Amino acid sequence: MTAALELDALSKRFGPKIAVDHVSLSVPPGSFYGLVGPNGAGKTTSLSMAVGLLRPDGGHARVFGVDVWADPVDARARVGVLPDGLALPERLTGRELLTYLGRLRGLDRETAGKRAGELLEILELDQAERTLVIDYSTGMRKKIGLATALLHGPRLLVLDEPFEAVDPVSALTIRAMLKSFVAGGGSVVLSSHVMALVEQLCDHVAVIDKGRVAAAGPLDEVRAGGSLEDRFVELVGADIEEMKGPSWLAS
Amino acid sequence: MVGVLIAMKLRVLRHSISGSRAAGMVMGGVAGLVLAIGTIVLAASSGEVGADLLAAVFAVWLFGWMLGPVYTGGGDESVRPEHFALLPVHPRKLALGLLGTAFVGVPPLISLIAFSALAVYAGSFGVAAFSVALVAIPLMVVLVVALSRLMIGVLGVAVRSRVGAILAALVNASMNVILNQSWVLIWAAIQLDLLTYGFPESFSTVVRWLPSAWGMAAVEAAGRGDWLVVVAALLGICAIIGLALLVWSYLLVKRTTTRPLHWVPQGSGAEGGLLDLLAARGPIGAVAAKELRTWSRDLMRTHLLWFAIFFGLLYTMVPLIIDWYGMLPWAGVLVVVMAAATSANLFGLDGTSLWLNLVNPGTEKAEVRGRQTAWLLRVGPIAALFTVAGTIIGGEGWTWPWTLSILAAVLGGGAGLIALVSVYMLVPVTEPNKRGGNPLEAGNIFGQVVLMLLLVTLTALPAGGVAYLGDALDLPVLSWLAVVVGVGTGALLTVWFGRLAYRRLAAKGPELLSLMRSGGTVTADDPTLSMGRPRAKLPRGKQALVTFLWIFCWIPLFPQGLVALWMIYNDSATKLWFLALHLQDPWRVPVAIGFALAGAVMIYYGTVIPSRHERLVTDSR
Repeated sequence: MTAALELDALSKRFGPKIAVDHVSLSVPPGSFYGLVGPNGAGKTTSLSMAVGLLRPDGGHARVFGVDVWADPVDARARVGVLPDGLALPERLTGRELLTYLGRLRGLDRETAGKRAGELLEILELDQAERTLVIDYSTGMRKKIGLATALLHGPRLLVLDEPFEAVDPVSALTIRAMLKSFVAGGGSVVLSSHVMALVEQLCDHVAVIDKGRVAAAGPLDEVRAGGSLEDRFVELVGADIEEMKGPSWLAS
Repeated sequence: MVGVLIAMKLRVLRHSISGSRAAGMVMGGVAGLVLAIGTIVLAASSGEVGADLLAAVFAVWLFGWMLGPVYTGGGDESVRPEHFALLPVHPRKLALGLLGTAFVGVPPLISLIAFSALAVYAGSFGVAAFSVALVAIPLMVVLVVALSRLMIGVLGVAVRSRVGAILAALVNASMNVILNQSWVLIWAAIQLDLLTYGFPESFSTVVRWLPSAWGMAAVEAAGRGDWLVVVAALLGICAIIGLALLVWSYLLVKRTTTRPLHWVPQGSGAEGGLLDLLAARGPIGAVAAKELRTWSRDLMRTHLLWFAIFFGLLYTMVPLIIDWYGMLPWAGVLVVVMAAATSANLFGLDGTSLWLNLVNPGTEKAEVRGRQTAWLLRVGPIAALFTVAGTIIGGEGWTWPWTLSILAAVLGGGAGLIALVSVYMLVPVTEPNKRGGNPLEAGNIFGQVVLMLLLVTLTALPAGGVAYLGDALDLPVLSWLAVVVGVGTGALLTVWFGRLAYRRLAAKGPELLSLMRSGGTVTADDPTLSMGRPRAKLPRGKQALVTFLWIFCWIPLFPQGLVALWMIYNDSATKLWFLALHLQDPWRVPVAIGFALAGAVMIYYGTVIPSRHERLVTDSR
């Protein structure tokens, strides 16, 4: 069975800094895959290269077997993406944005309108009917970004920090939505800093540190009996015993 | 695809049209229409010189389209390629779609009218030429729009670098100078008697070979029955369009799949550098060092500073075309005045990083003084160099006290005013971390720049007055005293305005911060949904009036008022378009003063109408 998303030795260098160093991952279809790692570990860079937003220096990324960089048109049609710090046409309302993007994705006018309405309702953005995207709060931007990822009914979702700055009620909605998506055979890849969330939601997990994969596989295999947080701290080599505050604060 | 993108762009435009934008669109449209009709009229008046002139005018249309984006800040970006980076669409198809959206709007329509001049021009060549013109007209419009898009594409990649920012400043300054100094060019044209004798041979050859004249070439060839040339010219236009699209689609991909690296100077962070020595000299030195680094690393600041430098240099060099060296001594002063005007949003440019001062109470004084010091260190040496070199080349003995005293006065006055204006008239701009590298997103600082030009000029009055007295009474001692006066008023204003500025910063810091936070956004029609509303919105009519006042106040104030006065004072023999100079003597001075006053009154109302309206709205809440 072809993997829903496959990263094959992806590499990226920014000036002297190696941001991503031969990252290889395989996301099985129907899995809920969590990507965790410290700040600056290369999560966003890896995901950007995997969905065709940042050209890698080396390696391949495949969506259901389709190479993202050799055949970008086919690959992009199969995946829904919520990028980090996404650019949006700021001076459209949420409904207008979704309708136009739907039509650009090849949906007819009626379907695009219907899907836009349904997404706005589920994500509780329909109250802000007359607000332009530029005036959305951070959480609302996340939600409208998520809606654009779902619009064309992809079988794979790649979400960069989908729960960041989202209120608890909306977070529950999004979680329920993603769970039912996976239950229906879809695959989700998400990155997060919240270990508890990844533990609750995901069945697979990868730990990325300093641009490399430190561990990857089914959740239970990776955490090996302990909690994910303990295992994470151990993998990225932080020693809790030695953690201390600034000398002038410790009395 | 194209249809949906166009519908999207129309919707975006509808949401973002405000009173001032509408007024700007109407005024730009009318101005463009006048130029387009002028092109048609020119085409009707044939003749060898006329044809060359028409080719030159078409070249101007082409360059206008290519330079326009530089001037207006990266061109129209209401529908950006980044928005479609995730779509399963081939880049070439996307480029074609985005090109389609480029034809929506007023400028392409105006250009269509302008290039219709080809049909008029073809009139004298017969029916065949006329039908060729009908094919060439739309092709020429597509050509200029495609090349304009290509330029934006190149800029989008190039402008993210420091070199790009400096180049953009050069282009920007050149265009401003050409607009301001066009009287020199007109003068030169009259002196060379262009309309009778035509352009120099080499110039005609160049404008005739530019792609902008290929449509004309096709029409002329059709008139001669030279069909090979007709086909070659038309195919040539198509080839350039195709090539532009191909390169553009490549650039689109590059733009959406690479990330710019921010420029960090070599050897930065090394211990013991000059800046570190400066930073070690207490809080003011530390702020000054931070500011100096920011001036060279922030692309927008780099752009604004170099704009001032190029402006002063080019402005005084254009009159060299007519062998007039008299402006050169003022290059340094102009650089200072323009640098003060573009730096007056000093705090606004840094965005919400003002919070750092709010959480460190007591640092306001160092912040203001450090920023003043850094500005003086950046601008002072260059201005002094320009002034000395310019006065040596273009000045005479009596110019020295004038230039030196006024330079000192505006340097000090500018350092004071940038601090004062930046905290009293803050203009919110895009946060530095969200600017996307385009140094042209400097925000709506036009009004602030105008006001600053005026205020800085005022600070030169005491020194200038003393220098004038010295000349009038023929007392060299008095003339040289002007330099002392200039240094004195400069130092006084720097200290005094700086003090006002840091007191206000300490008192109103939170308000300034919230203004910067909310200011970047414009909200939809419903006020209950608005997140932040920096200013009370003027009704459309009033907004249009204010925009009109700000755009046209210049003409009476500078050329018809102050410049005319200067020329009367100098007993200049030339009259050009300075109305006052065409009058008889008792009326010359009063009319020029009247014009200057009219300009000042326009500026006054341009400022007062919005602030009065705002007070009205705030009171009624």
